[in-house]
Amino acid sequence: MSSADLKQVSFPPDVLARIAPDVSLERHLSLGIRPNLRNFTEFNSIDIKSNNQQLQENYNNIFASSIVKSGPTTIINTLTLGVVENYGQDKDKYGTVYPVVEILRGRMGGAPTDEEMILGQDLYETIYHSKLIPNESLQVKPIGLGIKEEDGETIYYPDLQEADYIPQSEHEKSYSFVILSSIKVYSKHTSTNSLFDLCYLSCVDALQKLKLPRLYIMDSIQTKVSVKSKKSTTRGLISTNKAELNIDTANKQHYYSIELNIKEGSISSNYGIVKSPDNNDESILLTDLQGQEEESAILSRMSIITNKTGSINRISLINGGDGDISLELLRDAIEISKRRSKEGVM
Amino acid sequence: MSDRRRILGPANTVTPNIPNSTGSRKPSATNTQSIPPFFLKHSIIENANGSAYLEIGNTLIEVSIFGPRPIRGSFVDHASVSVECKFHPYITPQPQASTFNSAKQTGRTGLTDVEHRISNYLEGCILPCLLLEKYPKSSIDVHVSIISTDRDDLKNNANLLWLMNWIVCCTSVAFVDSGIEMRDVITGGQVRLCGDKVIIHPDLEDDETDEPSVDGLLNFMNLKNDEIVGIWIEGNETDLSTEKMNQLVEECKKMSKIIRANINSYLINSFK
Repeated sequence: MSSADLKQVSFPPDVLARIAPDVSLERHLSLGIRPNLRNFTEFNSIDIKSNNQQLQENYNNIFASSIVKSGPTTIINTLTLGVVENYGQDKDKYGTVYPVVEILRGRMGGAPTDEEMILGQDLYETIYHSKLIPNESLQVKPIGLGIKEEDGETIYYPDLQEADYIPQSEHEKSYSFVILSSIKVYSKHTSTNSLFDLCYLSCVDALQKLKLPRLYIMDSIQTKVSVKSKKSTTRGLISTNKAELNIDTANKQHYYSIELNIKEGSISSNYGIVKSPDNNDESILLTDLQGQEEESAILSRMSIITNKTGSINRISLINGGDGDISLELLRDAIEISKRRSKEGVM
Repeated sequence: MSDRRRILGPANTVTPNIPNSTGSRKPSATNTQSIPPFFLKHSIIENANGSAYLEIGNTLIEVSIFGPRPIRGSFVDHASVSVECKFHPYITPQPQASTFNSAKQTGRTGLTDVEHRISNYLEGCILPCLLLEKYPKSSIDVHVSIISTDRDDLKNNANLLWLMNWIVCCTSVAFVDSGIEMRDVITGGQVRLCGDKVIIHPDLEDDETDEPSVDGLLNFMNLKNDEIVGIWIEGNETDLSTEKMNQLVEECKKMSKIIRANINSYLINSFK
């Protein structure tokens, strides 16, 4: 009697996907379909809803928002504004957004995960280097002066009410807006690369909808600032004449759209390259990676941002797995990206 | 110290002041004697073991439960629970922020003090309810994100309690969805006692009166002999008599049972 009388163990597909993602992927591919039941070069459908009414009516500090849905993954991206004083001349020609990405996946602790940090950094750099936001459009328009009158508060702007405006020399400082983006990802189901595509899409979409407000300071400045004395540890309040900048939320008609360099159809697409299960010399190009198997078994990846004019904004290429990235595959991927830019993602 | 893991913007960024919008509050359709209608949905987050979403007025809450998941390290005979409640960063100021949050806390980094308070209260409520000894060497993570709050309510004191109550109710439903064994579904009541009046969800006008009032939030396990799992009381009345306290408990219990009945019928209908 042989001692190695082992029974064959079989696993249901979802278990196999977890314990041996590469085997599961290979079996699917040999059937001519991907584990997420899409074709090799099929993208997941995307749903975008920009400038959510309910959020923006309730919160005056949201200046643009974009909600992107792809499969079960939902991204809520909201843009808020900060202001920074302009010092000196050594200014960059282009601005960017400052994204904080949070992916809900049940991990505790304050520190962001690697994935969140990578996504944030990638978005920041891509938007900066794509020269989407010229610095001039972030300049704050001349600051208005709020004057308390009997029937409430009136705000005079030097460029709008020239005749009524009384120039004041104290606030000739120039300011720039800082665009802060907060991205929350729910039900993450796609790979990091696809998530970047969705986040980029939501950022571009929100930026295009972004309307900048006017700022003003009050005429009578009585700001109390808490200061810590060097001699004692108690805090005291002192009056300063440091003006506090206010956002003119009452006059939404003065809001103006930001001028951007975003070319129409700026879309990011991602690709994975994997060895063909039938022919070892051949590689297969898969688009829009999604799911456990593809995330962990495909290590050769490409990410391409193109626009409607046909030019390429960014290519990132990692040849990490056993699928070789050939010039042909790269050409194919660029063609698919261009087509997608032309046709749109919806 | 600067945060080197997040891209928070230039160091000298200031957040401009946003003047309070005046008079934008829509007159509430419901009176202050009954519980406003609310919307509830479970299993909305795919990668969580259980999740629920609740909408009442402008308050939007999403809760997801991750676990029980195995933990590394030495053996423990029951599951550990961790709770994280987070406001979306645009919700500024957070309720009661002037009392608890320091000026530096902007909501874009770690938890603020108000968020810690909410998380602690929620943890206190769910701990007696879960059968943790059934899950040795595991961890259960609860994530609450508060997507929107009733904005004008931020000024009054009761709103944090009101929000808290719905967070607890939503979390209960998420726990049911996760299939984690529990003793009962927790619900709660939140009322204000103002003289002889009992007010549910006080309005702005109720807030303007100078009469001493007490806001109370009590959470119950109604099926288990109305066991109380959480109490939070705020108010400007300095002494709280036994009668007042009894009345508070009774009123909250009444409200809790109504919410419980609603959740029960929702659960029966959706898990048929």
